[in-house]
Amino acid sequence: MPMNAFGLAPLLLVFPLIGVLFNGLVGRRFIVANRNTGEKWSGWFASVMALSAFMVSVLLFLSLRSHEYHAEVVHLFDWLAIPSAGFRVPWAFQIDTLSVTMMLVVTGVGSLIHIYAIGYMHGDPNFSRFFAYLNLFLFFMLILVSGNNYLMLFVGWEGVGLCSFLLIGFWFDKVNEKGEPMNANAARKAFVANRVGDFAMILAMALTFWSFGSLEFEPVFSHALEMFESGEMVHFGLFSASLGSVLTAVTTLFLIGATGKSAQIPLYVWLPDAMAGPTPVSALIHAATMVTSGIYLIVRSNVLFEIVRASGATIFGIVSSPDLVAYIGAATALLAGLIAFTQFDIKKVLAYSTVSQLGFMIAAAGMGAYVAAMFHLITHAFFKALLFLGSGSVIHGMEHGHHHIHAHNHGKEVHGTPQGDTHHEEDNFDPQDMRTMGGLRYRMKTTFIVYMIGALALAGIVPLAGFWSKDEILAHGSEHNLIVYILLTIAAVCTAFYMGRQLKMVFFGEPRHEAAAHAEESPAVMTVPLMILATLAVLGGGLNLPFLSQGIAETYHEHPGGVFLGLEGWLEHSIAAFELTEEGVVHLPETPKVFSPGVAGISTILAVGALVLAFYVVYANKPKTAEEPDPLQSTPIWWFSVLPLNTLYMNYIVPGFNRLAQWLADKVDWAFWHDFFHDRIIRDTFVGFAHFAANILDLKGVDGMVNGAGSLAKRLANWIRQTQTGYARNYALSIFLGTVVLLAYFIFMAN
Amino acid sequence: MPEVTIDWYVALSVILFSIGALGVLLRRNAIILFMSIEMMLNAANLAFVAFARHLGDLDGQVLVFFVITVAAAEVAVGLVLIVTIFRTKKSINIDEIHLMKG
Amino acid sequence: MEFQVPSLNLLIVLPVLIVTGWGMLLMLAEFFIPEEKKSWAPWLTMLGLVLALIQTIGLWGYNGGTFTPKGGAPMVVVDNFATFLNIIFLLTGILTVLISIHYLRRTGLDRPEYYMLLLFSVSGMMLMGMANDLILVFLALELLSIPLYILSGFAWPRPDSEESAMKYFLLGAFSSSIFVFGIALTYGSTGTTSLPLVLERISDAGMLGLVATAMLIVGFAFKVAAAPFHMWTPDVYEGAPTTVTAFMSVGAKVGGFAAMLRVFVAALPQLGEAWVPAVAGVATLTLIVGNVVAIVQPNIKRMLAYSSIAHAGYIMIAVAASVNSPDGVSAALFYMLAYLFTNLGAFAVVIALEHKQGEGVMLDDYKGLGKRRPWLALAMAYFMLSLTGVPPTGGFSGKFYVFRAAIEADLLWLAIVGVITSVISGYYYLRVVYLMYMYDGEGEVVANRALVWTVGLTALATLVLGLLPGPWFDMARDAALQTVQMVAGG
Repeated sequence: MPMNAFGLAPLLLVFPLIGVLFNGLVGRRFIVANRNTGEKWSGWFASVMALSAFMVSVLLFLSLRSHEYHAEVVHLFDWLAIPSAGFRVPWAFQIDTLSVTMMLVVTGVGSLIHIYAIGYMHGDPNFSRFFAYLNLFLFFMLILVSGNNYLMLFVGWEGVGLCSFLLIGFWFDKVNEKGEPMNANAARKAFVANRVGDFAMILAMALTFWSFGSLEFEPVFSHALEMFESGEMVHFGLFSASLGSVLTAVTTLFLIGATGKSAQIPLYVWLPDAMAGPTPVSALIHAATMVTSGIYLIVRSNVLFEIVRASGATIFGIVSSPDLVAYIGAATALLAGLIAFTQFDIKKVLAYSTVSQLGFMIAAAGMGAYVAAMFHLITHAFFKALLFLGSGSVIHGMEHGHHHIHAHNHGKEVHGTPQGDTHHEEDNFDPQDMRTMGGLRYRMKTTFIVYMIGALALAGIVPLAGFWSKDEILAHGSEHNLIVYILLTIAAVCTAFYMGRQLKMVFFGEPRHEAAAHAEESPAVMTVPLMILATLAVLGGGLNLPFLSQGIAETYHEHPGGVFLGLEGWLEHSIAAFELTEEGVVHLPETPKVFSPGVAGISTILAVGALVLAFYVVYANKPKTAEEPDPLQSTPIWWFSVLPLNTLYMNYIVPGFNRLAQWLADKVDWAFWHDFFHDRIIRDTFVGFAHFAANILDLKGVDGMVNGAGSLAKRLANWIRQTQTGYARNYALSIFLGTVVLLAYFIFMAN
Repeated sequence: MPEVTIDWYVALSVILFSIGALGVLLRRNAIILFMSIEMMLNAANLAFVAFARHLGDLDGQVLVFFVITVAAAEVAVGLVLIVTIFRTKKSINIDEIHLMKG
Repeated sequence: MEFQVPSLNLLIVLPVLIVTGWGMLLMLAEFFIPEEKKSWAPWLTMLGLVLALIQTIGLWGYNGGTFTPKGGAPMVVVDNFATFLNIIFLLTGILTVLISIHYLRRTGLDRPEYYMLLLFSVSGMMLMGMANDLILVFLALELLSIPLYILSGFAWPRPDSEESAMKYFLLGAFSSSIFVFGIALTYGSTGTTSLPLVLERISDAGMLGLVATAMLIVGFAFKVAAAPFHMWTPDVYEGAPTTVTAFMSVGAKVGGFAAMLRVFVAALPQLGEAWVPAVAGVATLTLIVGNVVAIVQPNIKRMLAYSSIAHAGYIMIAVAASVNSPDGVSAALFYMLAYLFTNLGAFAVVIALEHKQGEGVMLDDYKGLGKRRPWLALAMAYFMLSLTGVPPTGGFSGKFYVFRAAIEADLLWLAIVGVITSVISGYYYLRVVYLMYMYDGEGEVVANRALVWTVGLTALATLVLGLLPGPWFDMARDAALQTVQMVAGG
């Protein structure tokens, strides 16, 4: 029976929104009334909403299947329309294989993380607010991936940025040793870095609309293709430009947007700091979903990138924009992989690793291996979420152990429940410092096993998910771009090495701190999602196996060469499979080189070698105590910690950028522009909003607003109630007056 | 003497209807209230008959019988209710029954 | 002049005949049944309703009419629209009987007239959906209402029950006289009361037709409890025996909408430009009044009364949408189906807590129900979520279809009002959930088997409508299409 659930698409947004409303409006009351029950209500409600959105995604997936994967646009209503300017942006959902893939990842991994967070956030004073933000994030992320136009994508893009900002600063009152509000600073840093990218996005959208007269994906792409075929120029009023150069500008601006959101050079600096947020947030927003939206943007706009590639247009005659994408991705992958060596914070290692893996995806997208990019995006969502949640479990366990010894020393019962990353102890114990860990494999068996799986998947060990997706990218690189291939291969070696280092330091050896010796396994609500993710990290590669038995290949999807490529076959319905030549557009069945035994062999040997090196050579018996220096500290690699690029960047490039902006403002902007635009509109709006956020949202909390609205409603209710006097004749009067008003209206209509 | 057209009947019916409605709104005695409602129904009956005459169609006159019958049924129920209330309250002042409000 | 016998096909009105006839038979049989066997009455009633239900289901797909005068349109039509609604009415009757049995016994109201009056009222409701002539609409309306007036006062000499009956009767008669006047004006302006003929002639009716339309709106708005014609609702719902409240909160409302949909969508679509904004305005006012005032109600029957006012507002949205959206009527039908189960389920729980008449109906009595009767509390929580419109519940599916229809009909603002007021409604619905689970409390809960079955069945039905709304909505769509075809065919 053909299934048609496309009409359900709006539900994708409805469910998370209900969750936001529930937790934002009443969640806190439940918790105040009864801590344990209230937390269950609040957390599970949010989780069920996320799961419901996942079910909708699955239904959409099945519907697409029964409609032979034809893209469907579900039009809800016209959002913005200025008929005189020919401007029309609908609120419509693009349901095709690409967006459904993203929806499945976002809602699926998102649901697991919601459930995990119920355990992780247990006891947090702002429990319900946290879940309200998480659902809000899902809401915006789903707008981002489901919109059928760039404006909706941008709305989601801004929205997830806002949620990321709110969640990084979730524990905004936390200060570092110097008394600086570090979480609030990290949030601000993310906000600023993203603004740069957003500005580029706005410019790109304006340019797109100016050139093609639409912001909807389909019309833009088909219009661009037509123009390319006919060799038409793009006319902007008095002057005109070639399609290639216009699209180079658009795609380069998209790339800048992507470097902001997906943490690539030069805007990557905010992501490691973003780890100040609660761990589920790191897993959901800063590893699995939001940071991949840059890749989604590029893959979604693949037609534009391919046209640029085919037209041979370059940026100032140096490099074409898709190539630039590939180089930036590869460079980021390598740089972040190197920085990860020098980190002691368990989450920071993972953060740099995320930056590095995002670099892999961006590089793949830049080389035109869109399917490979998406494949890596999916598997990465599985194993990186797993690793982050696993690290959360480790931190949780360490906190527990610390509390245990603390209580023991003072000979009293533990009163407060340990909570996440917060540590309100007098001593400087840091539950995230890998130097204080060690030997956790005995204390936290489940966490150890799943973490091991995640780490090996990330390192690219056969046959875990990471191997297949990373290898597809590398194989592509070896065919199309040797420089990128070499950079990425080195980055892959780094990956294996730092993961080996981390495994060794956290789980093996002897406990280097009493807390590690007394660490405890996390509750089932946390470990069960971990197990599910671990299963996915093992099996995820099956989505796009380069070879499988001939029989299965024939049953499901016959691919030239008898290769079974599930994801490839699935995504080819939304990623245009065509080649642009001098004669115009030639549609081809996509037959990329996807598996090369040589490349796979080399990378596997290197990965295993790096793991062995980390495990048995460099960190064989070290470190024995928490104070012992890292064995790598005497090697050149450690220069990054002496002179981390991070610091370099913040000390020289950012102030330079600020000075440039200052100079532009003082010398170039004319007074009106500066005074009016900056002071009045930007600053005053921002200050106003900040004021509102600080006074209403933060101080009184959402609760304050609810109370305000509640008392208003109550006052109104009591006022209306006065009319309900109990006298039947009054009621008759109401009927009579109602009739008179209706009659008056109808008589008025008649004339 | 002006000719009595359909408009006169309709006007009379509207006047009767309004008097009835005002009676419902202004009177306190439950029985008079019901009489006012009866008057509204009969205003409708008058309109039916007048229209039927004007259109040369018998349906309107038949409809009047239905309305009269229903009115009779309503009155029966209404009087029963008044008697019941009178037994508990010893009053048929409609303003004295306002236990429930808000 | 030759006397014309109207063409009759009594088989297709058999369900109504069964219900009416059964009521009369029971009335006669009462004299012959000895006092100690009077407890059979509910089960006999149920038998009649089930027979009628079977017959009704058998009529699904039938499309025709009867009582056709010479050269005119049938006065009674049986199409899927009527059949769908009749299923709702008969289910309402059956479920009401189930929740009434034990309640009437423990409150000393166990008199067989109750069930007969129930049957007559159900037959009136059924005629509301089948009436194809305004005068028949009026008769059905009265047949529906008069038994309800008596049932509201069934707990005499309790003063609140008497007051409830008095107010209901007085205002009901007042509004129906306005309604009759509306019919008279329609007759005057078009020369007919037959809906298909009204459809043909109303566009030439001029101002008289518009005035008539306004008065018809008043009649229906009163019956469905829409503001500002709603003021009787809270008092009547509070004073009437709770089972009667449950019955009329669903039956009378759905009955009102049944006739309203047929009259306004099938006979008056040409005046849509005039009445759609009026109905939309009434809907807005209803939504605001119902949802806002419910917040401050300490008595659950009164709260549910305001809630039922609010739900009339949601259905009104669908009515307003039904001219310009193909799914307006079906959304209304589906909404009413979901509302039937959810609201009757909620009332069943209210009845379980009302251990003595008038006691246990305050919101505070729900404290700690989660611990005392976990399953009952779970069901109540589920009904409350459904009334709020949280997925996956029938209430949500209904609201989803209604709002979608409103958006399709270019009434986006109305859908937004609906969504905002739904959010407000969460405030008082969820308070019940909150009280049940967050506090401790004690109080007697009386739930016999029939009641538990009712709660279970309605919860299950609400769940099914929430998880798999598709097939049911398709059914509603079939039902709605039939109306339009009927009219188009004359």
